[in-house]
Amino acid sequence: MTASAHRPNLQDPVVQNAALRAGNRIAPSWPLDQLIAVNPWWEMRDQPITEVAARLTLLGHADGHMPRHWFKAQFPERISPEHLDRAMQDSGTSLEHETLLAWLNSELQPPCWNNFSDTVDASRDLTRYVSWHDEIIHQISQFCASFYSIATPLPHKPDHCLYEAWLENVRNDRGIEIMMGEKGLHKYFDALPATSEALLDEAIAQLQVPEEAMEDYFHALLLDINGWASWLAYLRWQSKLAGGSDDAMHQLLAIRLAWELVLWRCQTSKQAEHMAALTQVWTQQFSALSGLLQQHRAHQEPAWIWQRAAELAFQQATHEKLLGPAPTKPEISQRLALQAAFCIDVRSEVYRRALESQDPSIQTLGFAGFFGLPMEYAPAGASYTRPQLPGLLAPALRVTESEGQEGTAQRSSRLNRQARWSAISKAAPAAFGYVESVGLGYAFKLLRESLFGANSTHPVNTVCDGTPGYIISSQDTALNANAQAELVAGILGAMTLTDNFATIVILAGHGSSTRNNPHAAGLDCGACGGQTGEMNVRVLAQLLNDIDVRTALADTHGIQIPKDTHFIAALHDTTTDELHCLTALPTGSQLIQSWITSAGKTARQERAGKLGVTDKNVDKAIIGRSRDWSQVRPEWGLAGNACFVIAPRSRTAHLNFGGRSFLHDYDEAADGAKGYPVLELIMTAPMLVTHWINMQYNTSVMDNELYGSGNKVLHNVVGGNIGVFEGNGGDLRIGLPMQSLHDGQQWMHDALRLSVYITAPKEAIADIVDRHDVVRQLVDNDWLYLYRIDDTHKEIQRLYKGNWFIAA
Amino acid sequence: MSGNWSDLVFLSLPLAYVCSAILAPRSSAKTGWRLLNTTNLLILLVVACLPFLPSPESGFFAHRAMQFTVLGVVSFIGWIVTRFSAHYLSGEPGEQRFQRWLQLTLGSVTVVVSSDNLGILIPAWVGISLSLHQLLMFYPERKRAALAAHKKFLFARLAESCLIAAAVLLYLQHGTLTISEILAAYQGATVTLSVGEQIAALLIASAAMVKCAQFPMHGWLIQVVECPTPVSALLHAGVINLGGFLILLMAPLMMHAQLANWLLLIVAGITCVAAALITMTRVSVKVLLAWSTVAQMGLMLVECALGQYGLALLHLVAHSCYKAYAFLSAGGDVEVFIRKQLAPARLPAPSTLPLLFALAILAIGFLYWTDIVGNDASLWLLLALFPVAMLSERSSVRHRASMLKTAGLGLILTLIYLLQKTVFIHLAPSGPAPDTFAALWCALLFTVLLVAYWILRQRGDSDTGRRLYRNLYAGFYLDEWATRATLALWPAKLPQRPGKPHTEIPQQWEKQS
Repeated sequence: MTASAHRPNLQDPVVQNAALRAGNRIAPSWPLDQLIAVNPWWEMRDQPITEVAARLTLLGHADGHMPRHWFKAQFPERISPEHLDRAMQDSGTSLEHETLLAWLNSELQPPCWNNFSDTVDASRDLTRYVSWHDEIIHQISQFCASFYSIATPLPHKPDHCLYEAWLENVRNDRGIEIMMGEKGLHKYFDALPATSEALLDEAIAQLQVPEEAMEDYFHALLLDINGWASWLAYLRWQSKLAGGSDDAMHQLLAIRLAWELVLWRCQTSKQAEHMAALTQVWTQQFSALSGLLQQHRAHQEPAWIWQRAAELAFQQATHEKLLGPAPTKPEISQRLALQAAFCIDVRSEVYRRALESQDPSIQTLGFAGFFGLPMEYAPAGASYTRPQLPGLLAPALRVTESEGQEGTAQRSSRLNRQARWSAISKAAPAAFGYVESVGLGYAFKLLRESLFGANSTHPVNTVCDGTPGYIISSQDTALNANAQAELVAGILGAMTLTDNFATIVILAGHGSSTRNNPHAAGLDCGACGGQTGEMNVRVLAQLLNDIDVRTALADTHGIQIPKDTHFIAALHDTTTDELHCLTALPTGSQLIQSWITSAGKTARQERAGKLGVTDKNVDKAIIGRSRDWSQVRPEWGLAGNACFVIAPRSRTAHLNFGGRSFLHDYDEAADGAKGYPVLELIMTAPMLVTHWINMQYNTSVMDNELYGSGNKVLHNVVGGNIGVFEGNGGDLRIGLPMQSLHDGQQWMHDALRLSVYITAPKEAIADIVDRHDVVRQLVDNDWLYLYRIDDTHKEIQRLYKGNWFIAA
Repeated sequence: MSGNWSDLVFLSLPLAYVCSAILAPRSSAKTGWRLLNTTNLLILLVVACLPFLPSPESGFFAHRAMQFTVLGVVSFIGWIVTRFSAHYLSGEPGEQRFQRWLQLTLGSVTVVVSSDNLGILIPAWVGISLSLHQLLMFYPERKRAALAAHKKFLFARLAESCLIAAAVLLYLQHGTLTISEILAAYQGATVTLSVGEQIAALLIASAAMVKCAQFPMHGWLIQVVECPTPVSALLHAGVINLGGFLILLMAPLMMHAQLANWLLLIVAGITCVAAALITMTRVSVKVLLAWSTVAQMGLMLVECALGQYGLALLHLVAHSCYKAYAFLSAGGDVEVFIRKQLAPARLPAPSTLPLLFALAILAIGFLYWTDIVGNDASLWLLLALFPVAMLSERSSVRHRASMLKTAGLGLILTLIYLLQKTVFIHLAPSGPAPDTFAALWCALLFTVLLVAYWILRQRGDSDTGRRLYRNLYAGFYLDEWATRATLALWPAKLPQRPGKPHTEIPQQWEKQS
């Protein structure tokens, strides 16, 4: 039973291609230790969002839009009748106003696709028996967890591929027969073909799947086990970044399809007369498929008009803000006292406003939180590297501490001690002695956590403190001063920070501080690959403070950094709104320190309401939450995100976006001189990242069952970092937990598609959209709104399908 | 009926739990939590003072060190769980339902643990099961939770039947339900049990094993990770111990009941070793912890069967603290994972573990020969597996740790263990030394544990290794059989929800502005 037994000439290319295309519709989901936001519909961006939603509702029973009562609750206060009218006009719909209002109260929905197992379940007494569906998902999910986990203490790893390992596993599993009361089920597993390709062919033939329905049927099967499909998509993504082409998606598909085939054959032989009826239902479903898609599309049309109306309501308020008169800022003749660069993250907006309000001589900047360093971090003395850049990119640089041999050895020793101690309580023979000798000590840990809490203890973030410096290498060669200067020149250019340096320039990465939280990395910097931005700012500050680099910058790139300018690495703690300086401020900077402290207070005051903090001492309460091991809502993360402004800060400094806007600094004049390379970068990287975040929140709110990870109090970490189960088993869960979206009373995130505002010439924007398929698809297929703020501040224009429209 | 003020103090504990259970849901959830926190902290403080009170006189309450210890554990865990839940469950629609049933569970446990009368103990015992059932069904719409709770419900009735039958037999023998009076009959040096008493002991052992989720009635304990984390903590650190408590309580009787002890040795012994090995194949943190509880409960019962009641009590207390912490901090498993990834283990040479094990056997053999340890040598062997495993798994791929330093650490941990053991031995009765067969049986079990571990770690890819892994992974299909049997005996009514045919919509989140 090896791969060689399989005869490749029997493969049907039609079937295999359909499997490939269906697999390619699944977007990746990153592991918990590198959790970044992803649009789960990303791989279908070449179609209009409405089409994708209809298809997913049909095939995956997904909720592709917000529920009716959500719109109903907002009408006519937040969504006014005018917004609804505008939305109707924009969509060019033939629906009547009354139909739209009636839709709010209707409950009807066209039927969805049912896999064969669901068809069998329909005639099963599910109050008495476990459904086939649940058993299938449980079996596949538990198997995949065990196959992909590297956290078990056993080196035992199957040496073959996913499908073959599953086949070996399921053929030896007698539990399913016992559990489902299906004697002789194993016969059908024994009869399954040895390879996934052969299985696909055989099943398609036996299940009588017509050619035109194959891809959708495959897609439906993958959506049934969407969590693991997303995990395989992640492995595929990583393989692609590394230049490979590993893809086990069709094997997962084969596993799910094998279950359909087994059930089919089992039903055929056991309930022949019932099977005739089942077969009829089954084949009819295929012929009805395309009609059903039409029905869903038509059925969802009102939802999308309401969705557009809700977005118009938000946009109208935003447009008024952006076009309102900006207060003329008094020209500051003297030099800036403080410049601080933050991540574009919506949480920075609150803190930046608070910091700027401290003094007119403070300037803040918004830039992608990885600060343009395409690096991975390899802690000295450890066998571990982690990417510190957006998931779209592969790392080009490696950063490690320059610890020297002895320091590195000491670290290895310490890390070994900690790792072995963590592992020993889980080794079967040691567990008993462990409990009897140190178990009682846990009483003190229980007391400490209950009474005092503790700072978060991320094992990597706690190693990187207090090191003399960092070695930055590319393909095992350390970068020299010239290469370093070239790197930072590009970064400074993109940051619009090439002159007028203040004496203190803070480079603020961000991270969260939460306890006992499997999704902690999801609150860290997404641009840093779900890590805190600490390493990136430490490295960049080191580069910018380096004399040789500065000399090279001045000589080759014409960037003069004054001698008295200090670059300070800092970390913005988004949970507590504290700004920690990682490298010391120069002596005599008490004023700056007091600005930082007081900005934190202001920001916490602003956030307290949403967190439901009613204590008198807001600072203590919020910091206490970050140390509390039982806190499931330590911060709201990026909930509420709805727009992205790409403009100089002077255009937005007077505005309060309430923590709902991403902000990227952009200087069109400087960039235009070079042919808009910076704009192109922003629209093809940060804009995609913000779109991913936005859609992750939207889909997690719309359908938390399929695209969110459910209830945190039930979370059960799988394989150390792969993901979570909700409870005992079921599918692997992706996306955001309910507690990150909902406060128990209401949603904390409104599902609104991202509105992007850019200050740049029409031609430049349109040209970039034209040249990049990805960007064009996002704009033209309604995944996001692309707006331009007119130079005169009088008008906002929208680019859509190659034309500019006046929006406000 | 007469009593003293000490009786009133004992009585006030369950009353305080019940009163707060009634009052808390009447106000807002926040106020409810404040009330529960205060009540449960006060109860903890009162429990700490109990040993210093005069003996209660009503005959309803016991005044034994073992019971104070368990009471202390229960009220401590109860308070910790309350504090934890206040933030953890905030915003849950069932928050106040949780408050009520948590307090009622704790109140019933308090009655069981402090009572000296089987006529009070048994109804309270039923009360625990019924109130816990409400917590296990915290999300009634979750199918697997319902199935697990259903199984648990049936097993609990089985355990109660055993317990009631045992009580009847003991009543027939002694003419009283007062526990201290019953136990007084077994104080002499030579005690021979009647058939009735032998059966009663067997029934008590069976009830204890059902409560402690021993094979083949363990499945529900694994599957109830379908309920919120604090419920798991309460269950695994509190309620599950009741089986062990029951045997400790009846220790003067149980230590003479050879048959019952052999039942425990065989069932709990096998469960203990098999479940410990099964934990190695588990991939989700809570399920792994649940299997570990099954194993640890097995060991506690084995220790009871060997007459080591003091050690069993130490195990009960230490395991409660460990497991409560492990469950409540299960969300930090990603950090544990990263910590291990920073320094992945180096696979030791195949001969290391067998050599160290042989050394341990020699050392314990020497201690046995010189009479330093007696027939509890088998438990010493199990304890020795901890430093043995530590020494064998001491290095990472980047760092070779010193053998000597690790051995030193092992020695210190053994001393800590000895110190605790010395204290706890005074808190519970101690039985006669177990017979040599029992000691050999246990030594055999623990050797199997080590050998199987070695096969999994060193020969995982061999045919034997794969077969072993597969069977452990499947839990020997014991739970599937148990589930089928319970469903055949008394079918469960599984929750069905409208809407998507295969998805579980969290109904409770649906109410929104």
